[in-house]
Amino acid sequence: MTRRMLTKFGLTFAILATLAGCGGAFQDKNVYRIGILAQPTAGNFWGIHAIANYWDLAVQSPMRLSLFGVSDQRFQIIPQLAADFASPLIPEGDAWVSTVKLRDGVRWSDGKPLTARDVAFTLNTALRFGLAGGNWSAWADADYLSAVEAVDELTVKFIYASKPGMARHEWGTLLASIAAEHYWQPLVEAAVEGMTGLERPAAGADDKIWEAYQARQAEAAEKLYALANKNEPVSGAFVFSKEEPGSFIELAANKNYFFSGVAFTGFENGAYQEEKPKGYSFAAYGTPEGEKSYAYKSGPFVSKTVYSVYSDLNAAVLALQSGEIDILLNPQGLPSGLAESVESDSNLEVVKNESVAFRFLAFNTRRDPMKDAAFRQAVATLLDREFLTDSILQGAAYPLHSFVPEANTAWHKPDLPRWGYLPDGTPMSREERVTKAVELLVAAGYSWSDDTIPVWDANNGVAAATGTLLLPDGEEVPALELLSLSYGYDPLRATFAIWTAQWLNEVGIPVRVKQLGFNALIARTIQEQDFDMFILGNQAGLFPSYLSDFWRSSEAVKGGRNAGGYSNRAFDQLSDQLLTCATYEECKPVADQIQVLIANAVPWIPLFDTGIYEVYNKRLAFPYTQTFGGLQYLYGLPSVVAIQ
Amino acid sequence: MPDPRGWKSETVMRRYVVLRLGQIVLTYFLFLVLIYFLLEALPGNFLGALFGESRLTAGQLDALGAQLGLQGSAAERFLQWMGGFLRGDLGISLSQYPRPVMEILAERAPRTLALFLAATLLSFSFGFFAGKILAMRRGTAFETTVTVGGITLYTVFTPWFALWLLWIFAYALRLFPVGKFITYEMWEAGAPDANAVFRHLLLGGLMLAMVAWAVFRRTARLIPARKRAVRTASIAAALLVFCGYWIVTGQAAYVLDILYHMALPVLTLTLISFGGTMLLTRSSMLETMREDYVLLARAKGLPESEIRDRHIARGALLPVVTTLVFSLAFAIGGGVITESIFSWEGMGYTLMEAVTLSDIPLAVGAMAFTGLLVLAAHLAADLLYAFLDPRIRYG
Amino acid sequence: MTETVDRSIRSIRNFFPRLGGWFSLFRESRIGVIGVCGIAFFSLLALLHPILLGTVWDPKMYDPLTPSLPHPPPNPAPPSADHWLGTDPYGSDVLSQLMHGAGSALLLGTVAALVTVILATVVGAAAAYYGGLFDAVFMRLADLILMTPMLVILIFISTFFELKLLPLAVWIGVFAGLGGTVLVVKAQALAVKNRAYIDAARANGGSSGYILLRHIIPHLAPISLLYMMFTVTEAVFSEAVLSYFGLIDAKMTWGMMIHSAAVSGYLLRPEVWWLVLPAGASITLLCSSFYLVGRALDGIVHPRLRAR
Repeated sequence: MTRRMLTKFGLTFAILATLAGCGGAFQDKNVYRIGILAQPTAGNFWGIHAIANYWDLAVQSPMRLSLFGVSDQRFQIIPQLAADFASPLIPEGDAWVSTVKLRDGVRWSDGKPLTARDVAFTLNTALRFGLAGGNWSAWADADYLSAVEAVDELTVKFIYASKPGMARHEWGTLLASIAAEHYWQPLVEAAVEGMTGLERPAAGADDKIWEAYQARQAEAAEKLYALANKNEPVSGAFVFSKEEPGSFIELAANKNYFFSGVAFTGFENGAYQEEKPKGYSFAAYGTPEGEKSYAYKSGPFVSKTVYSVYSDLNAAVLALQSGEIDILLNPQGLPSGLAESVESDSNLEVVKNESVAFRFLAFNTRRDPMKDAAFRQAVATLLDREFLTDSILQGAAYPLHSFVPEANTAWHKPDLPRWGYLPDGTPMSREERVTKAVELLVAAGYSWSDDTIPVWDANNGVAAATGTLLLPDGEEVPALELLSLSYGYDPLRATFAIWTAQWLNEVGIPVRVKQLGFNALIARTIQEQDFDMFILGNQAGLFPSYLSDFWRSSEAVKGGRNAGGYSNRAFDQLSDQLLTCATYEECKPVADQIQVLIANAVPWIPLFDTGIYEVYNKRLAFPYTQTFGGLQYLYGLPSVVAIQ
Repeated sequence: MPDPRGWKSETVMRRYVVLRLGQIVLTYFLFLVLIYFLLEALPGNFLGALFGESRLTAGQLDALGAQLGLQGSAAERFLQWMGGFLRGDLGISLSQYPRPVMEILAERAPRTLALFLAATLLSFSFGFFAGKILAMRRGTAFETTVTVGGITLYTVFTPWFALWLLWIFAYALRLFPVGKFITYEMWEAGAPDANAVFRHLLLGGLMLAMVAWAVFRRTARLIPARKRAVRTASIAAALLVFCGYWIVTGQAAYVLDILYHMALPVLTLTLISFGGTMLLTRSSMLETMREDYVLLARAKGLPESEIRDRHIARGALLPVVTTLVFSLAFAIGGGVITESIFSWEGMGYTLMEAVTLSDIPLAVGAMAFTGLLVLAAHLAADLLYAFLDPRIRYG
Repeated sequence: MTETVDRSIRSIRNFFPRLGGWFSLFRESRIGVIGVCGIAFFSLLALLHPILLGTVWDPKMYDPLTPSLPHPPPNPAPPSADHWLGTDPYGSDVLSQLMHGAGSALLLGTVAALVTVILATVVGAAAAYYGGLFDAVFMRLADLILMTPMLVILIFISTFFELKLLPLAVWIGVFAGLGGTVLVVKAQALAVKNRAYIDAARANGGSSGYILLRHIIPHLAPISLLYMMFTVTEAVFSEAVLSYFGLIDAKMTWGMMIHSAAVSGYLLRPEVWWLVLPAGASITLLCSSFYLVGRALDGIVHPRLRAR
């Protein structure tokens, strides 16, 4: 019995091993194999931009072009499907309009020309169906955009009901991906045949009418999301080829890609240039001359891009090492331990970049004593970032001092006021921090019970406060809770929380760390707003309007981004200006003022970030690998990468 | 005088089954209600998870919430879901919007089933076999070594162990692929749909199992020599038909590719779970070895092997079969860890994602599916006990 | 009525000298002793930890979670005179973490195992013996528990019961005991219930409680005690899962040690063996010890299984 079983096993094994050998014969060398960590959804163009996670966008972006995009390295707005920048907004009756001219000669993957009608169709459909969600809310904000018109084959007119700023126009609507009208229109019309009630009510209409309207829209949107998208013509570098759910998605190179062969150059003086051989030449942001920062030609140079799903990070790295994939895309990059382990592999290359994410500590400014700026400034002073990142976390993280990352050179304001640093920029020692914090609190009217003041005890290296902090009105500061993710889930944030609490307790401020699961933490902080302080993370965008979102008072409702309820009239004014300023020259000073205000008032304290490690196979050639957010931010550059 | 073969009486059995079915329906609905409100009661909802990533303001989040059907109270949502459920519509997943839940489950269930059924059957066969031997070789060094090995493998930390096996066999030795269930290069455009192949594979496997079961039952009464010949012949014939089908439809290479990818996860799962069955069998066999009917069989002078296989093993089967039936039901739930590490996106992985992202339609849909199977398995197990141990009576 | 009371009192009185007999039996069983030694070893580690921290070890360097003077980079550092098992990626002493985790694991394992065994045996035996409504209710409860994936149960109880280790252990014990284990035990009890000696005992006038305790439950002991190992393993693994999701409110556990190694990317690197091996080996050793103890115990409780 055993012998027979063994022979059976042996036979099976032999067959399988033979197959292992056969596997190699199928490789097509000119395929860009990307590893991703979760399967993208199978939604169509409309649904994907409602709720998309990183993987959805990674697969969709190479297939789509927008009117405008952002330049490499400097992330400035440049025309893509448009031929040149949009015309300035001018009033036309009650509305504000701007026109955009499209490039001549752009074709869809099925050969048909891309015209203004496609642009108008895409945005008008989004408005008509009230599409909400990650990208649609930015591209087709019904509170501002009322309609888009195709004036002629190559001219598009944007009509706004209220004046949008750069935030909503250049950095909103003009970044929209465009869908093919000749494919979608018949499908859309068929789907909503017979549906009524899709006309937008007048501005002052009854709440009930609005609700009914939204309900009809939701129904219609569902139908829209369910439409099939096989053989949809696209304008990007790649066309959808095949999907094996749960395993891989394959895209094939688009022969009609307009930008194939176009030369992109960035200059040290900030200038940007595009040149199409036997075609147009475009330059912006300065004179295209002098030293070059980067120069490359657009492809696609690979015949296919394949996205392979590996649901475990370690397994994905193994796949990289055994050559099953060429690069791994992950918004968090690789943990340092894994990155180190592949450094010695001669086939792989490791790169490190600054990431777009940041971690922060937020105060609930509705409660005492967090209401008081002096208290927050004292906390910021006591918090020794460098000690944690250098001594405790040992370089696993680096300190952040601003909510606009340094790598975002267009908007980052350097030399912001900092708490806990000496005038020359070096971090204060613990003694200096304690002294300064006490100074700030005393000046604001705080005292301690037993009439004592925390003094630095040089022998033990602590500030052993004997009393509890008292509010200016004499009441004791209530026991505060600092909410954080648990150590097992994220040791970095937990470490910051534990140490911050320790430092605050030393000075007589009663703080207790409470560790929660991620969902519970979000529920208590963002949704219920029942907290004193918390530590979480978020992402910086390219245009600083997100700063407005974090702290303006209209966002202080439950579920909004201003969970701490920060309310400052000066900030609200600046925020409004930021959302309506029309040019970079107008917006930059406002953004600077916001950064200074926040650095002084610290409703949130910026803590740290970890940077992003990425790995790829050396057979890939990229025009550059140092870029804000890393290669994953650019989805692996499939239209530009070459296989050597 | 009650019928001495009381349990075998048709009416008693039928009454029992009907009673159980009624209880099953009740339990199932109770389960659905419980699970739905439990998930709703967990902190946070789906929109909360979007906090770090999206640029939505409060007003926009509200609009999105309306579109996703997140307005209203939990009770309203439940009634709406239940209405859909009774019509066979499990709703639309939130995390994979706008994909219907049913579609997601239909895609992932066959994969999990194939993997875990194979692993469970293998691990149980091997465990049972090893446990039998352990019981007979009580007190020897062999027993100690195998026991230690079994326990170590059972209690080893699964993710670490699975990753190491992956490292050894897929990376260092390049014998197997690094997880996933198909090789991209083989399945480019033109190849059949992998999930369809999985379903056919499962169906074929099930038919093969049924044939094997029928053959074993029919030949139970033959004399040993004849028995072995007939059994081997029938199994061989069935296997031939099975393989022939694949070759004829041109999908043989694809099926082999899938089996090739299944090898490593199945090996891992078997290694980490056979220890449990082995020790359970051993315990159980030792228990039955001292039973009176065994003593009687020995007194009758029956050969040792027959005593072992016919009498002891049969009695020992009871707890093992119970656990097996349940493991088969759990097979559909899948194991999150194994599925993650081997990139085998199945039910376990789906459920974990759904629960952590508060994607309630998907989570409830997945559990409604697996829950039904568990209930069916329990009923099957109860019927099997009665079959295995003639002294058990119901009613 | 008085007959039963008398008999019960006699059984209880006979119990204590029997305990002494059992103890000497246990001592004779080698595997039992090995098992107990294993558990004792980890208990020692757990007890020693606060003593060491109070005396020889400077808390600034050896605190298992947040030492203020962690080992200077590079970390994780290999074993040295100061750190016998090296340090974790953030400079905390691994041995200190291991010892602290031993206490958590022991608590978790012992409580969960005891609760499971007792619940499953009592409920399973009663369900098999009495049948009827009692049986139906508990079987359906077991169904409900089985239908709910462990992950969901864990997340649920961790959310509603601020998870400290002791409540977690009790809840795992309850769910495991009233779930799959009770079904297996009940199946066994069904088989036992219809055996000849039960009828004989009943004919002799034994009460239900007496029959359950004296005849049925001893035959269930092997299965229940075997399940002790399964439960301990499950309890320790559940803790690891909960650590992974950040839902445990404990300072440092073995699961967290392995998880933080995994999160930092050190799981597959044999040259930093001290991050995973000590915690992993401890889990294995502790669960094995429970298994051995269970095996020795069932040799005592079930007379027929004694080697003689």
